[in-house]
Amino acid sequence: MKYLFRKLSLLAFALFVAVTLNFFIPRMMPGDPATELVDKMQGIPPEALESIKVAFGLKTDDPMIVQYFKYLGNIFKGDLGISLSRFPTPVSTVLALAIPWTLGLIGLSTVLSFFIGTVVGIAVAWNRNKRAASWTVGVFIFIRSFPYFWLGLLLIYLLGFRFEVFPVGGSFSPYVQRPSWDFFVSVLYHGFLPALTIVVSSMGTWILTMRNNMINVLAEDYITVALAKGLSLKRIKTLYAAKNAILPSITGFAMSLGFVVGGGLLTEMVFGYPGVGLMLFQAVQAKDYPLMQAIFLFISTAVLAANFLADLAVLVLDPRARDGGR
Amino acid sequence: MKKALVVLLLFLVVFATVTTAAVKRGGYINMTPMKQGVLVKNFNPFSPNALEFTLGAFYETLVYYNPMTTETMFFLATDYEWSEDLKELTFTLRDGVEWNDGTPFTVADVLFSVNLGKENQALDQGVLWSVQGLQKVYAADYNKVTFQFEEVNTTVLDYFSNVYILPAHIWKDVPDPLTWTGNENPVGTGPFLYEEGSFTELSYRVKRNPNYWKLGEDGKPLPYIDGVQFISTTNEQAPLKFARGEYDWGGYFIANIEDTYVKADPENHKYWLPEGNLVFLNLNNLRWPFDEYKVRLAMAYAMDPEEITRIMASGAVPASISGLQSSYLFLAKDALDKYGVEYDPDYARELLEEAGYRLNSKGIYERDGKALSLKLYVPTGWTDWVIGCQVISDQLNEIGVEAIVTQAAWPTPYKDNLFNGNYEICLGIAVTGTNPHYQFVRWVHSDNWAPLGENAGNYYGMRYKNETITRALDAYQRTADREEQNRLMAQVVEQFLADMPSVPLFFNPVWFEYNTKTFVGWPNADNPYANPRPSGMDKLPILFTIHLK
Repeated sequence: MKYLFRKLSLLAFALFVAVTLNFFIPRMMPGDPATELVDKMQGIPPEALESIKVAFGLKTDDPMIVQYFKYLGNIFKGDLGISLSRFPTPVSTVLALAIPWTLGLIGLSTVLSFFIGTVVGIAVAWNRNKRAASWTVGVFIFIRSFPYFWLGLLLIYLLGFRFEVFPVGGSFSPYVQRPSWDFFVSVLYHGFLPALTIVVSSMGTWILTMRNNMINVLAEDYITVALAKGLSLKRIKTLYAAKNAILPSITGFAMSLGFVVGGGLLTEMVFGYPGVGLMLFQAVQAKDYPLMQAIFLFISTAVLAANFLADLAVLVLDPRARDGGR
Repeated sequence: MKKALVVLLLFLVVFATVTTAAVKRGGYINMTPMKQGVLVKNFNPFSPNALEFTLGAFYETLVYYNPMTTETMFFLATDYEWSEDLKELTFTLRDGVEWNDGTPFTVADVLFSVNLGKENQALDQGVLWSVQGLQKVYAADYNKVTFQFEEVNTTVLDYFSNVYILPAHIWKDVPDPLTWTGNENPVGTGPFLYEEGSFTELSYRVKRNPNYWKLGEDGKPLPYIDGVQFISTTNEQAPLKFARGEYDWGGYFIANIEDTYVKADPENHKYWLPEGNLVFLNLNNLRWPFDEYKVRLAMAYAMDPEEITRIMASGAVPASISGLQSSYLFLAKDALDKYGVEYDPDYARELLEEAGYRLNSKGIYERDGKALSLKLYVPTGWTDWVIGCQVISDQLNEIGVEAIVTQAAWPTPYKDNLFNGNYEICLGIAVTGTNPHYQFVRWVHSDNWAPLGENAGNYYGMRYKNETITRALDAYQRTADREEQNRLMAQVVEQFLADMPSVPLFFNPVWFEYNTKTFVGWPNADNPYANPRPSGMDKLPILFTIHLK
C-alpha cells in the first residue's frame, strides 16, 4: 500500500512538472503564430496582422503568470483551447482526428513487433548454437541501427515509387466510401509499408532483450533440474524459461506503449500518415501553442500512466517488489 | 487543282475553329491543398486557416483586381463609381444572383458582411474600418451600396479583392462568426458547392454550382469542370506524388523540379513560377558606406541576378533593377533607358575609385582607413537565401568588396535589426501585393522611415526616403484616373532608379505545377492570365478557364 501511495504521489508530481514545462517551453520559441502565418502566406495584407492577432487571442494584457493559472484551470476543466493552425477548431476536435490513426498504426505495429520479436528471441536463444540463429540476431542488429525514416524512405522509393506495388503515402484512398469493407482494405493497404518499417526496425530490440534474458535463465539451476527430471523440452522452453525471462521485456513493452501516443514522428512524416506525430510537427512549424501543448500533455500523461502500470505489473508478477525488496 | 486546295484549306480552317470553340465539360481535377497532413473541415471565411476554396469558390467579392492582367474583374458588382470628391465609392450590384440555397442576393448581404468588421477588428475584411478609414456604409439604392471614407484614398479599391460577401440570413444568427465551426455546408454565391459527405482527414470534394451566374463560352454556367478533388500531402511526400502524376494542380515547392517532376512525363508535367515577393540587397542608406550614391550604384553594377538565381536553383526569378514585376515593367520604360543598370564589375570598380576608395594590400577597397569589409546578414537556415548570399559575396569580391555572409535567426534578431536599422547590408524582402503602388508605398514611402535606432514600423525598407517619391505615392491615392496613376508610378520608379537606394535581385516564386494529361487551359508564362495561387480570388480566372482535353 505504501509502495502504491509513493508511486501515485510521484505520478502527480511528475504530471504537474510536465504541465508547467508544457506552458513555458513553447512560449520561449521566437516569433508568434500570427506573424508566422502572415510571413508564410503571400496574399494576406501585412496590415491584417493586427486583426489576426486579435482573432487568435494573442492581444492579451494578462501577464504571463495570470495566463499560466488560466491555463491550469482550463486543463482541469478539460478545455484544451482552440487550435491556432486550424483556427477556430477546438484542439480536442483536431486531436481526435489524429489519435485513431496513430493508435492503429503505431500501436498495432508496436504490439506486433513485441510479439514477433519475443517469439523469435525465445527461438534464437533456445537454438543459440545453430548458425541460423546467430545470423538472425546479426541481421536484426544490423537493421535496428538504421534510423526508422531511412528504412521508410527506402521502402517508399522501391515499393511505392519504382515498382508501384504500394501507395507512396497517406492512410487510405479518398475514393472509397467509408465505412465499408473496401475502406478497411484500403487502410490495410496504405498502412502496410509504414507498419513494416516500424516492425522491422524495432523488432531487433525485442529479439535481443528476450534472447539475452532467456540465455541467462537457461543457465539457472532449476532449468538443469527440469532437464534432469526429463520434462518435455517444449514445457521447459515456454513455462520454465520464457515465462521468467519475459519480465524485463514486459516493463519495456509497457513503456513503449506509453510512447505510442506520441506517434512515430518521423515515420508519420515520411509516409504522410495523418497521425499525432505529423500533427505535432506541423503544430511546431505553425507555432500552434495550444495544439502543441495538448499533444505534449497527452504524451507525458500516457508515458507516466504506462510507467505507473508497468510498476503495478511488476508488483503483481514479482513477489520481491511486493514486500519492498526485503 | 488550286481551287480545290483553297476549298480544302478553308474547310480545315472552319473545322479547326469549330473544334476549338467547343469546350469539353466535365471531370474532377485533383488538387492538393496548401494545408498539409490532417485536414480539418474549416469553411469559416474569417479564419486565416480556412481551407483554400472557402474564399473565392464559396464566397465571392464584389470586385477582384487581377494583378497579372492589371484589369478589374467584376463579380457580385457590375460597376463602381467614385463620388466627385473621391470620398465615396459606390458599387452597383449584379442582378439576379442567388445564394446556393435559393435565397436572392441583395444589398443587405453586403451591408451585413461589411458591418461585421465595424466593431470587431478580427472580422474586418480588407482592413476597411481599422486601416482604410471607412466611416460608413449604406444602401444608396436597392442595388447600390456606398462606402464613405474619412480621407481620399482611391487605392482602397484594391482591398475589395479581400472583402467577401456572406449571406446575412445565415450569419445573422451566428453569435460569434470568428469562432463558428458549424459552417458544414457553406451557403455562398460562388462557382462551387461543398460535396456533402466527402470530407475525410486527408481529402474533400467540391462540385460545380449548376446555377452559377457567370456563363461560359457555350452559354451555360461556368465552371466547365464538374468539381475538384482535394487530397492533402506533405512536403516529404509531394515530389513523389507529383512525379507519379497524382495531381492536376499543385502549389508545392519541389526541389530540382525538372528532374523530379517534368522528366517523369515531359508531355504533360508542366510548371510555371510567376513572380512573388521581391528580394533585394538591402543597403542601409543611413550608414556608412551606403549613405553615398556612388557606392550604392557600384553595388548595383556588381550584381548579376541571373547567376544568383541559377546557382540558388530554388525557382526564383531574376528581377528588373526597377524592382517591378514584369506585368508592370511598362511603367519603368523611360526610367530604365535613363538609369538602367547592367552587370558590369569593371564599371563598379570605377565608381568606387571615383568615390575616393583605393585598393588596400588585401585587395579590398578602402578610404580613410575604413575598408569595405561588411557583414552580409541572411536569416539562419533559409537555405536558398544563404546560397544566394554566397554568390552575392563572390560577386562583391569581384569588385573589391568583402561581404561576410552572416546568419542571424528569423524573426529575432534578424527582423528586429531591420526594424531598427541595425545593419549595413542584408537580404531584404518587399511585398509586391496587387500592384506597384502597394509595393512601393510599403517600401519607400517616408512613413516607413525612421532615424537609426528607432522602429521604422515595418521591415521592408532600407532607411531611405525621398520627397518626390512620397509626394507621388500620396498623389496616386488621391486620383482615380488610371492614366494619372501610371504617370505618378513611373515618376516613383524613376526617382527610385536615380537614387538606387537598394538593389532588387529576384522574385520569390509562386509555386505552380500543372498537368495537361486530362485538363487544359492552364495559365503559364506564354498566357499569364491569372496568378496561380489557390487562396483567395486569384484562382477564379483559372477555374473559369480549365476544361477537359
